[in-house]
Amino acid sequence: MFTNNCPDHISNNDLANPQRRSFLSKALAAVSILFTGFVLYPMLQFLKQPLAKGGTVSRVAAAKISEMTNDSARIFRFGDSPAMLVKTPEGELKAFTAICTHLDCTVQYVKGKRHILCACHNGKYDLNGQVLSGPPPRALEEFRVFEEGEDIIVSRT
Amino acid sequence: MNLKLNFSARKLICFCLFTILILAGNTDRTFAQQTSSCISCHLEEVDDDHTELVESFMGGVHQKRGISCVDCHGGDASAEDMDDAMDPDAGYNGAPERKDIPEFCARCHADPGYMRGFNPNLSTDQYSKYLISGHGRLLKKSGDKKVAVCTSCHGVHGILASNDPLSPTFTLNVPYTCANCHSDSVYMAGRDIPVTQLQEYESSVHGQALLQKGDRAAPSCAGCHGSHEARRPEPSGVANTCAQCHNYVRELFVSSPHKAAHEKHGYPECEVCHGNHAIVKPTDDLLYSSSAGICADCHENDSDGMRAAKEMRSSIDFLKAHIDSARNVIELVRFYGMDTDDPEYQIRQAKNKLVQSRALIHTFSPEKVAAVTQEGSLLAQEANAFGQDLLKQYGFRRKGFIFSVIVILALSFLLTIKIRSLNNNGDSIQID
Amino acid sequence: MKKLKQFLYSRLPLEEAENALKKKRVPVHRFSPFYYLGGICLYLIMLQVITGIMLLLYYRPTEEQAFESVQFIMTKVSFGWLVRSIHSWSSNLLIGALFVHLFSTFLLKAYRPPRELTWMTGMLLFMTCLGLGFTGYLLPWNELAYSATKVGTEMLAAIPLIGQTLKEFLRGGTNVTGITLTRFFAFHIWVLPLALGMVVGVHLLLVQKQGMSRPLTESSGPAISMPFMPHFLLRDLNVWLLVLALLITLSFYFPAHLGNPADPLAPTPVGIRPEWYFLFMFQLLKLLPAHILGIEGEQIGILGFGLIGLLMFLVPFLDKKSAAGRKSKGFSIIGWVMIAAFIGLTLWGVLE
Repeated sequence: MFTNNCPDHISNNDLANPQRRSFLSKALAAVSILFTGFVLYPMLQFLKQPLAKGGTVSRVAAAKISEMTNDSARIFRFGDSPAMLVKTPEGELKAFTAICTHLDCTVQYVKGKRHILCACHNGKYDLNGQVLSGPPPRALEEFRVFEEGEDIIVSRT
Repeated sequence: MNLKLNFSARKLICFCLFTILILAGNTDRTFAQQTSSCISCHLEEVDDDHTELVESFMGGVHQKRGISCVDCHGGDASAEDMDDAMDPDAGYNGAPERKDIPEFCARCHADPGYMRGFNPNLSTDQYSKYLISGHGRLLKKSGDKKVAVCTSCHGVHGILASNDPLSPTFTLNVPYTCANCHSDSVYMAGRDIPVTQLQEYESSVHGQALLQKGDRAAPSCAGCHGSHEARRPEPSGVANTCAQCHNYVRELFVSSPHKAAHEKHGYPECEVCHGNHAIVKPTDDLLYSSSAGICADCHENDSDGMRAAKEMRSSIDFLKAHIDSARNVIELVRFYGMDTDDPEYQIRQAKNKLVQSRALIHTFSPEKVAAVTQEGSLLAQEANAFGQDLLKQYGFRRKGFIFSVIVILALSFLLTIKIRSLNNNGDSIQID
Repeated sequence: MKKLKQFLYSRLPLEEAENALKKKRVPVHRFSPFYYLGGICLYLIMLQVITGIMLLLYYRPTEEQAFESVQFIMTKVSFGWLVRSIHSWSSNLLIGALFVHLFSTFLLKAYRPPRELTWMTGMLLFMTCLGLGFTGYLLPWNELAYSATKVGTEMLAAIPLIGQTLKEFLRGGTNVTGITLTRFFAFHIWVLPLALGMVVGVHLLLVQKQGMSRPLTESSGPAISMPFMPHFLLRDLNVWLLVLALLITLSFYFPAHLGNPADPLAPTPVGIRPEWYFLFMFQLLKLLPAHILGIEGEQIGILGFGLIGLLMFLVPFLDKKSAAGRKSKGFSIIGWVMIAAFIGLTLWGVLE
């Protein structure tokens, strides 16, 4: 750009034409508006409410307190993997990963039988996550559970 | 010599202090042990074997529970003189012969009343189990003195509890303990059993879980053969042994037509397809493949059985293909930086179905397998659709990127023209 | 509109400002393109402020939530990936532009009187930006950032006397922990930007007051110049547009990565190294022998960098020749040696 600045270059350039110049101004204005749009759209989208709730993966509201009856359980998502919230027949709340330690199947709660079952190979865990029988090599990882207002919160730490 | 004696004396003092420290509970037995002339004399012996004997005894479970030399060997530990102490009249019975060792140990270990005073949880049926074991029967019936007796696995004086990681009977050590004899081709010569079990076991799923991952839930030799009662299993017992852990698959098998067939021919169920010591992770090729497949061992080509195998294999392949294609799409979009938590959750569920369907092979019913693979395929397809959707979103990003660059370049171009037109205005460049 | 203008003009020194800008001229010569660099740096700083504030809307500066909130920005917030990538890329471009700005000023001897203060504030700005880069790197609380921060703060401990105290002050304890994260956040969001803003103000004021420096080599012959308004300003804008296009392209093809969350108990991941702009220091410290004259090599290295920094800061007063209006070959050679050393060491570090 600077190399074109030599005064010698100032000569018969048709851009000196006033009509051309008003077209240029209009074009500049139009493209500038377009540009502003392209800048503002992502910014406003960013400010908008995000696609999902801002919960974190190490802490999740697994259920409402009112939803859980004694001797029941529910599977909820904890990050990208399933986890299980259990309310024992005595009314104690517990949470485990719902992934069987044998071959990664999702486990289920068996009402009235005091155990958690993996249907893939009939692995059974007790209500402390310990292996009762079947092929699972290890206990289910247990999470911390606590109540917060209406919600039952499960957290990793 | 003098030096050696001094050294031994010092050793004795150390051991006494050590024993006092450990057995601060101060029982009568402890006292008896400390004043034992067996220990003092055997420690003073120049012979290393003797000192080693005492040293190993000192760390063992018997010493910890307060059992003294006399409790097993008899004799008089209070006698100063060696001959008095080891006088058969004083009850000294010396070291038992190898063939008599089981009875030697059983004097206490088969006596529930006596054992109760030490460890109420320890069973007292080891001796009776040993008598029905392969080892015990050979010893008793044919007088075969090479078979394992108690000390072969447990050691002699320094016996450790089997939950001690240093014990030869600790689960992780059991395969090597058995292999001491069973992998020794010279020692095992003349018997009709192989010597390759350890090697095979090490390559198996169980061996890898136990020996490499240290997973003590996986069976060692004793997990299937038993320990004191160890013997070659009956064909009819094999499946029940496997079902200790693999109960679901076994249930499926029992409900299948194969159960009757195996009974008819006296086949050992699980072992027929999966083998025994070298049980490797089963592949889908084991079920059916163009070249191999275990079913072909019994079933003719073009028979109903082979057709069923082929159908089950194709159901499983169908599900695998769906999972793979969904995973490919999702890996691509994840590479593009998109959020793939949702479809990955679905793929996980589809994989559940794959594992389930593989277990269901043991029903040998193509319909039952297909029902589950269908469910799984639907899940995988959903994940795939989700991935495609994300791919579209990525396309939107891409378009946005291209258009915004075009707009920026257009603006820049117009600005350049504007700058040049300003230059042409004349008043821009000034020479001072 | 006119009334508003009148209202403002009668109350603020806007007329003076307008006149000053109207009068401002930019010298035209073969090194003129280097005049863009200050503007580019200013532009990138503004982008950093805007994208930084946007990220702040979702970022949570705690040990438990930092990583996840960045992950949330990257995956769940519309255009979050773009905002974070631009923030990350423009920080890198900013440091790069600052290096070029600094060395071109050095080689063209633009620090000659009366521009000593401009140079010195510029050096301060450079250091502040390095600090912003260092503190910002930790905020995503991922493995790489965690280890880099550990290594980086450990290096400071080599400074004699105050090193250990400085390290513990930065870490907020003996180890890099959640406290370090909160601290770095405070530095990155408040302390350093505030300092940066104030010093940028002084720097710009000085530039306005003194105008652009014409290099000694270009002082012979006719002095050609162009008006700042609108000729140079439009050129500035044009360059800014191109920088934006570059940023978007980089952000699209190489979005900022995140890696795995920091785990204080995990072993340091292999291939751990600082951001590219600290590599030359890292590399030079590796070259030094363990002990020089009985003193730890690392200490010598750190002190050496401090000394070089100090000398650079005081360059306007050291370069007597160019201050007197004569050519100063010695300082040109020093400049080129530093550039060669910086590029060489950085490339070596990158390729290693």
